[in-house]
Amino acid sequence: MGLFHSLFYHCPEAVHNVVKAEEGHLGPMDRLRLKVHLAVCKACAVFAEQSALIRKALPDALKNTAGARLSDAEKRQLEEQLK
Amino acid sequence: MDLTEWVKLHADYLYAFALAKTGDAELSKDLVQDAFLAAHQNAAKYRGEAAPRTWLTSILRNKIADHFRSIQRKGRAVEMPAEDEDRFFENLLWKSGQAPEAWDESLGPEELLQYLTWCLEQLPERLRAVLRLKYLEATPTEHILNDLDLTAAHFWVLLHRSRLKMRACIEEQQKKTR
Repeated sequence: MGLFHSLFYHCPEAVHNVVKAEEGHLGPMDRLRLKVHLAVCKACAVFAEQSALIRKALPDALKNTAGARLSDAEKRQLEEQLK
Repeated sequence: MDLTEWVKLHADYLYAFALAKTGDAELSKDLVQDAFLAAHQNAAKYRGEAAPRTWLTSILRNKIADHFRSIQRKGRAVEMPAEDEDRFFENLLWKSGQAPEAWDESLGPEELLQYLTWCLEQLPERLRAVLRLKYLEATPTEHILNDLDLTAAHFWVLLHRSRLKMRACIEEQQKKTR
């Protein structure tokens, strides 16, 4: 791996690490390299920004998706069987 | 032990877990029911050493293992098609037309939520169940890896590919309404 690659991520790697960084699973060296990449790559910077917005909205959106949870009726039925 | 309270607190989590393991909504409901019934029968054995959710999850894991044994097949790890990666990148760069563009200024939280909900519904059900464990049930990553038998590398790939897809889908939805 050349100097260029050791300093700058390529885009697929950057995207992968944006998501890891959001969850606090990226080490300090990788965070720095990601920062450098995002400073020079506009597309990935946009991705990172939007990814954070999506992450924030995900819990509510997941709650809204059809069939995401057991229905109240299904839970009541379950509770009845346990009495 | 108040099992009806546990249904309220843990049934959705257990359901998402079973769905992530089996990919079958009806089967998952049955397995969750079986797990609760087994918990009911074995209530005397529960000493409160493990958290209720951990105890229930271990019962459910056994039920899932029994199921796969009975059909003489092995459960497969959650996958996301590799072509999803090819769709976005070529030679380690964004493909032309796939590079993320800024969203319209007008996109507020309400609309984002609406688009995102729609886009999530386009994902495979199993993958959505993994996202639910992570983002709705706030399950620690180590638990997800362990319970779903995923490697960390695989898990992060699932998350970043689904994020790529969601982002592109929101952009498409927005363009349609312009």
